[in-house]
Amino acid sequence: MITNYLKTAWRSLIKDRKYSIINFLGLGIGIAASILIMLYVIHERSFDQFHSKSDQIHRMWVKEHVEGDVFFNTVTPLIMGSEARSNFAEVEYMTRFVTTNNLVKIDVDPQSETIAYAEPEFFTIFDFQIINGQSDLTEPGEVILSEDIAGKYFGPSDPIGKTISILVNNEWRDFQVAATASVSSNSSVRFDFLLPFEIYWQGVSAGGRSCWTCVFGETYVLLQPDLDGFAMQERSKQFFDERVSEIYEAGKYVVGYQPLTDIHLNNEFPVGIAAVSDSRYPYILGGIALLILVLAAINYITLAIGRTLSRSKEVGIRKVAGAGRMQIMLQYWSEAVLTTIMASVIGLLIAVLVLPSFNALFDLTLSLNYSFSLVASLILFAIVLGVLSAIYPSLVLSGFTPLQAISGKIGVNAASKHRILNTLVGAQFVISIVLIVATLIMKNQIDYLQNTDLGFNQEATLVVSSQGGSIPELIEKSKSQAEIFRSEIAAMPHVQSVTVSNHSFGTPGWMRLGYNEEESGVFRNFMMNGIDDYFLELFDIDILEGRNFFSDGESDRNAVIVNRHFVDEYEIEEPLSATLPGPFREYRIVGVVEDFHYESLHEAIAPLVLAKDPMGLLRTTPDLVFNDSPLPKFNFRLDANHLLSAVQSVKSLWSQHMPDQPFDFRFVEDDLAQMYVSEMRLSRMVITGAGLAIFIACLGLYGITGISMNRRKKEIGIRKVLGATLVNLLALFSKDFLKLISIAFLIAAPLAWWLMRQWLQDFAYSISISSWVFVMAAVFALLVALIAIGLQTVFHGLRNPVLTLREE
Amino acid sequence: MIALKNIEKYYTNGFQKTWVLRDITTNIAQGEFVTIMGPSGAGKSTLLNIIGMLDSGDKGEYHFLDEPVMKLREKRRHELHKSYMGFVFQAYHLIDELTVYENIETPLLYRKVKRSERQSMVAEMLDRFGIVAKKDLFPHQLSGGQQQLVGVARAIVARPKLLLADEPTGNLHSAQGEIIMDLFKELHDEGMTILQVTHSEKNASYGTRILEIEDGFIREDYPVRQGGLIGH
Ligand SMILES: Nc1ncnc2c1ncn2[C@@H]1O[C@H](COP(=O)(O)OP(=O)(O)O)[C@@H](O)[C@H]1O
Ligand SMILES: [Mg+2]
Repeated sequence: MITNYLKTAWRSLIKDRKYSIINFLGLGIGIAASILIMLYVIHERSFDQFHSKSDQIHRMWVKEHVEGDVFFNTVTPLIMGSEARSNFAEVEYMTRFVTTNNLVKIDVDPQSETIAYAEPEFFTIFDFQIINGQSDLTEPGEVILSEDIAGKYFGPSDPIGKTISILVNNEWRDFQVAATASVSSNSSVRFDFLLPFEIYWQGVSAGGRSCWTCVFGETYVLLQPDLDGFAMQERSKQFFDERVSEIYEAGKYVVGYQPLTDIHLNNEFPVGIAAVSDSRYPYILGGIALLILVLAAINYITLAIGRTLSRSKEVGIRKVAGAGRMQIMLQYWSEAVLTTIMASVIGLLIAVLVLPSFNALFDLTLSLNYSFSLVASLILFAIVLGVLSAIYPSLVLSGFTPLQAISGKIGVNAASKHRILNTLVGAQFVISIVLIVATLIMKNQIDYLQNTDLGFNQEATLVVSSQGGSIPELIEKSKSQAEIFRSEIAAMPHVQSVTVSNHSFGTPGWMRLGYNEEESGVFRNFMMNGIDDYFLELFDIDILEGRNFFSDGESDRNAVIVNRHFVDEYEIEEPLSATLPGPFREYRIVGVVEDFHYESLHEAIAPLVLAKDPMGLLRTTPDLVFNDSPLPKFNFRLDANHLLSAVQSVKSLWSQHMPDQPFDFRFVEDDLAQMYVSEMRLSRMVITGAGLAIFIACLGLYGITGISMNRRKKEIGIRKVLGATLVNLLALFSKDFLKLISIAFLIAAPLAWWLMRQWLQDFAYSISISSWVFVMAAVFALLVALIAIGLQTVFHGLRNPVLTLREE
Repeated sequence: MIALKNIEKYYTNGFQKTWVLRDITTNIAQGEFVTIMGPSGAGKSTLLNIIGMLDSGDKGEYHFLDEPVMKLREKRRHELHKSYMGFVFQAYHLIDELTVYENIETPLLYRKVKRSERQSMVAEMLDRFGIVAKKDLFPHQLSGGQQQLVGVARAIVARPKLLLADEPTGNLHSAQGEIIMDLFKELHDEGMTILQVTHSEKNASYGTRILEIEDGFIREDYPVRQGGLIGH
């Protein structure tokens, strides 16, 4: 029986080639999108599962409650892990995991690399596969390299036993490569150079080693089997309360344990060293794949319904020959499943072909493994998709009485069928228009993000950070270094100026200083950056009132410059005779600058203080938050037309004066662009999705127009004999669809508007949604639809009318 | 085998009833070869379809093998149709996507006949109708007469008790039609009950009894004198 079904199915697929191709293509694209997105989701969900004890491994976190503020960290004090390990049998193993940026010398040029430090129990807790050599992180002279970094520095040659110099704790030390390990792409814990934790420990002061309020790196523990993080948190609660009782009341210093496998996709926890993925992506991507599949399935349904007339005779004959309704339905299901299985093969092919571009587009490294489970789940998926798509068509087809079916007199419920067809095609247009509107709005917002006047000049600004040393020391050193640079720059044609500041632009955020107001006790805060006398000038920041710092150093120690927002928010009448509020009274305001966007446009501008002596303010403040390292940075303004030679000049200047510091530069413009990577990625996803959706919807429209023209062959012939032109015919056939698209637009526009408003709320500064976006989307949808209908009109309209009339 | 009593069939058009069949009462016994004749639009096809359970009457009683067809559930009616009846159409109505062999095989598939048995049953038909060489061809590769042979083969392959044929030779040349009629005769001789609709007196002469229908009434009902009509 089933072979007979499949045989008929196969032959009718071939007979109606045109429609089969539309279905294969649409469903194939939908399935390809689903395969790729499945790969992505599986990869995301597989994070950190490869450790044999992954369910026992937890990362410690600490939450400090200070005066209504909460400081939540997944990087912890160093003492926390060792205390937990030695006082709780439940903590079977523990390793601290810290990273620093250091200079590494392998050949000649020192390079800046990320160095990780871990304790001997690291390899008991985690199952990183050792490829070559061996090491247990107990020998202080040994280093373990990741496979990737070994390849980068040593190529195919064996790195074991080779020597690497690393600048640790301000001195160059030699390390022998003892082992190489593989760090798989789905691991949260990553390292390039792994050194014994002992090395790091040596550089930490006694105060730091026992500090409960300083955070250094991550702490991983292996808990007893079957003990979850919450239970452990309860058990260790009292212990930690007692340990910090001098600083915190009980319950104000909370220590907890986050499961390792939870790190990658949990956006509720602050980011530690392990990178975290945006947990919304799998949903957005999955949603887009689902929409594309739905569009393709709708094509299948509308084309199948459209062809009931030509299929009904066969149904009638089968019924007379003894077929029951169920058997007819089974036949159409097998036809649909055959279609979807073939579409899956095509989809798999497409997926293989576009996987590299998909990886590139979304910064991934996915690969397809042709496993049994892949094939099995693909087939299962195809069956489900086929059965779902064919429910309605098979119900309609099998429902006719044999007499109706054979004679083709199935016009009885034509009206209701027409309504369903229109609804389905309309739904396709709703989805397409929503996606087009979303695409346009996202594009506008991203243009806006990239082109808004940020209030400062970001052009051709090169930033190099100084390294190694304490911050106050480095600030002083950098300022005098900058003086030397400045005198030499005067002779360089393509380097214009230099300024030193604690933060540059395009960073995760400047310092935030907090304090409690004396009278009300209300907690307030403002942003701060330490700058020199040249900062405002180099970045073209407008001074509204007062002056810049004097360049004679001493006299401006207690002077600060604030932004317009500061003046507004603190309601200062005479800024130039005012001081900073709260504990910062000794600082006088000498100038007010226009507001500028020192952070990404996700954040609103806050009160800002620019200080010549940031250390004084830092020593005064009772509360400090920073996301960007405050190590002083050199900002060079280059000649945009001669960037390359300008960079060369700065580089030689640098290696001449600071030979032991890496010339690790970046451009402010690149960093600014980097702040919107996530938005760019999302918009790429939506654009791709919208493109595919429109394409599939139009394929369907093309098919359904073809069917209706075929049915009206005779009418077309007569009209042509009477003198109708192609344009007349196009108008005739597009009339119905134009009405449909208009209705779809009325539904899609508010939906898209609402969705995009949600998205725009992520930004403190965003475009307002303008109506022309909707006009554009409507025009675009119309245009594409007209093209699809137009092609069919040309195809049918060019036939000789005499021939088509004779055929009838 | 078939007992019709006061069968009526009408279509309602607004408030107006149009009668197609009125007061049809007759019996057809097993082994008869009955010809229904009458002008176009008389209701012949409608009667045939009602008897074949593709359509149903609006009033009256219809007993098939003593089962009250009009009171049966849809499912049981379908079973009766499937087990006892074969249909031949004027327009052949073969499935375009299936070969000759597969077309003939189709009714057996719906009757869950085993594969080996199916093969021998279809082979027997091909052999008997002399179309073995054509078994892998598709309908559009056959002449009208050959298509109708396949149509008959398909109608009888499942060995129905009753063969219903609505103008089976209407689209055929007389020579081709004769082949079909000879076949019917043969089948009748083997004991099959046959009910055919035709306009041709010559075709009617193959049967045993004639029912003449006009305006939905049975006008005449008489036996065919053997040999009497042949050659006019
Ligand atoms: N679905 C229908 N609706 C209305 N009238 C019908 C329908 N089907 C058949 N008729 C009418 O019933 C009458 C008998 O039809 P039919 O049995 O096909 O006649 P015959 O086969 O004798 O030529 C005709 O007048 C025809 O117009
Ligand atoms: Mg008729």
